[in-house]
Amino acid sequence: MSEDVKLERIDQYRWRIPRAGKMNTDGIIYADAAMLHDINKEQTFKQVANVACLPGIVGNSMAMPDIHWGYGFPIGGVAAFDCDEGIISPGGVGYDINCGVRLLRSNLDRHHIKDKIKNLIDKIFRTIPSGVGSKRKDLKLNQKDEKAVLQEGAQWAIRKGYGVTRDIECTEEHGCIPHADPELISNRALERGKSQLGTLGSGNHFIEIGYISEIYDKQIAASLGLGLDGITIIIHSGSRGLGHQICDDFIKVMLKSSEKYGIDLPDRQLCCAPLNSQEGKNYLAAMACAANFAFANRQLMAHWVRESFEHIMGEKDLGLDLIYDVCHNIAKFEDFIIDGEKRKVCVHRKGATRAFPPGHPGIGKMYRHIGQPVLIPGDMGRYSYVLVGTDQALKETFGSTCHGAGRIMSRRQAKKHGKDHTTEKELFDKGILIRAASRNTIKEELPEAYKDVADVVNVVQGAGLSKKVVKLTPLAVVKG
Amino acid sequence: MKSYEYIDHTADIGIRAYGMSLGELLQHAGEGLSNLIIDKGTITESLEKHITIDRCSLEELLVTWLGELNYLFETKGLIFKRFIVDIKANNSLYARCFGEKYNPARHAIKMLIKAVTYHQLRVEKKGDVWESCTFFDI
Repeated sequence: MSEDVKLERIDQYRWRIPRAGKMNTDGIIYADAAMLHDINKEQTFKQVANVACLPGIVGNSMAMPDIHWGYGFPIGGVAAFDCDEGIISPGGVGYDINCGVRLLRSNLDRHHIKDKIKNLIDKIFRTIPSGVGSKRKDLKLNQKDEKAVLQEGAQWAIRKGYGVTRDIECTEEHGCIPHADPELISNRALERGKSQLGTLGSGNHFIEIGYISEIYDKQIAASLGLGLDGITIIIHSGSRGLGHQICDDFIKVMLKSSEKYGIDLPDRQLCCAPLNSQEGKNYLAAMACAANFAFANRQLMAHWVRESFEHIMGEKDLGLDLIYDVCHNIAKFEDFIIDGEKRKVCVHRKGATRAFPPGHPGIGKMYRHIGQPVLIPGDMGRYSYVLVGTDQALKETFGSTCHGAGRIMSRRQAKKHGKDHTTEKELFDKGILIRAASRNTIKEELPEAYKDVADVVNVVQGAGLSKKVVKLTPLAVVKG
Repeated sequence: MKSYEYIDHTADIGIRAYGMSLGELLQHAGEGLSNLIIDKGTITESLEKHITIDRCSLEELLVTWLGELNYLFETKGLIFKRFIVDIKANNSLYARCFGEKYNPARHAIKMLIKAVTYHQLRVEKKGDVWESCTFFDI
């Protein structure tokens, strides 16, 4: 693959990398013209083209508008593979397996609780550990418990009293990917996971109290129980050290299996195995364990967020219902109509969100009339969005859309940029409180380090891949 | 000669390490990793831990070594200030690591490392100097 990748404009929001060299299909990038320069700073187009070279790819190698450079697959990448001819790649899922987002609504109005926000965020900050050196003393897992978490996901948490049955209905895959096999996980992965269940993690993970600042679709917003000025909570976290270790362990396996099965890799981080090989099946069963750990992790944190609110507000019935929980980093078998025929493919979404349309059987009954809620977090100083999936996404992107804002500054650049600013003070002046385990994180995660998520969301709406429902504005954020 | 330097990256961060021997290179890469997580000036040498890694390729040795240090921090809270690394002729590693247990009262965590990646992974000798490049998923 040459360093220079050719790019053709299809329309205002779609750009094609025509099939060339070892590519098996075209690459398609969803973006507007203004974004393209930033997107390709680190040869991200080439990563889209590299994915197109993998065997058994079905449809195009795609990238969402929040695309940025990733290990092997770009972040924001979507690619589907044939069950017989195709491959599975840990690099197509990412190190943080089932990193994802969940959104809770409430009956609370921001005007009524403005003097409680500080107490609420402090309580959440004290209650939910970030990870290293801090864990919940009341959550002790032996290896048997941990293996149950890996097999049952969020359903384990509900069974243990951390949430309500309705939460499961509002979680992608009902909070449990089937066929998870804990016996395929290394002791090291189990050990990394053992003390980290119910912890937020660091980097871009966060818990945010916000409010609904704008409504784009009144009917769907009402169906979701989202009204203007209503308080919401976003939780963004993943499978923690357990998922990182599983990815790491299987990259070592896949480096060997790529060679074993004669797969020509344009980039070592794209290492993979045929879906129907033992190595491929083992990775999928191990990946499912990490995905289930992440579902349980977010379920526990949601439970403690509810308890924190009830404690500070001094009442129980706050309507803290789960709107939805989506995966950002995952590979799953899903059915699509391809060339007029129903076909099962393995969709890799790495920094991309499932966005199924109204009527799709993969969505719980309560949302089947409006489409699957899609949660798109932005940076800590601006806003986030709730969207819903569309038919267009199902036809064009294997039911996928964007996942967030995407970094535009390195951590060092962000810190340099933030040197002359007191990020906390500036955010405080905007009405946003920040709590973080590390002051370093606040500098690294300053809002300007990210793309404006509104631009990203406008592209997926413009391209018809999802539909805007509401905008959320932050009031207080816990960073890991 | 610098011991190590950090490589800027939009999403993550890398370390370029240098050494007059392979052992010194790995020693410096280890110091670079410790200093990414916690300011090395705040780490004391109150305990010693030994690490051995069986024979593997040079690149694998580097990834496994840094992965081991990250694992010890994440699961046991061990952070090291100094290393003495001995590489045998068959590329197996024996290291003495000097550091302490993470103490939130004295140590501010700068960042947590998810994994050591294979991206642009490199271990090579340029003239008399060994040089390596490693990127971390943050």
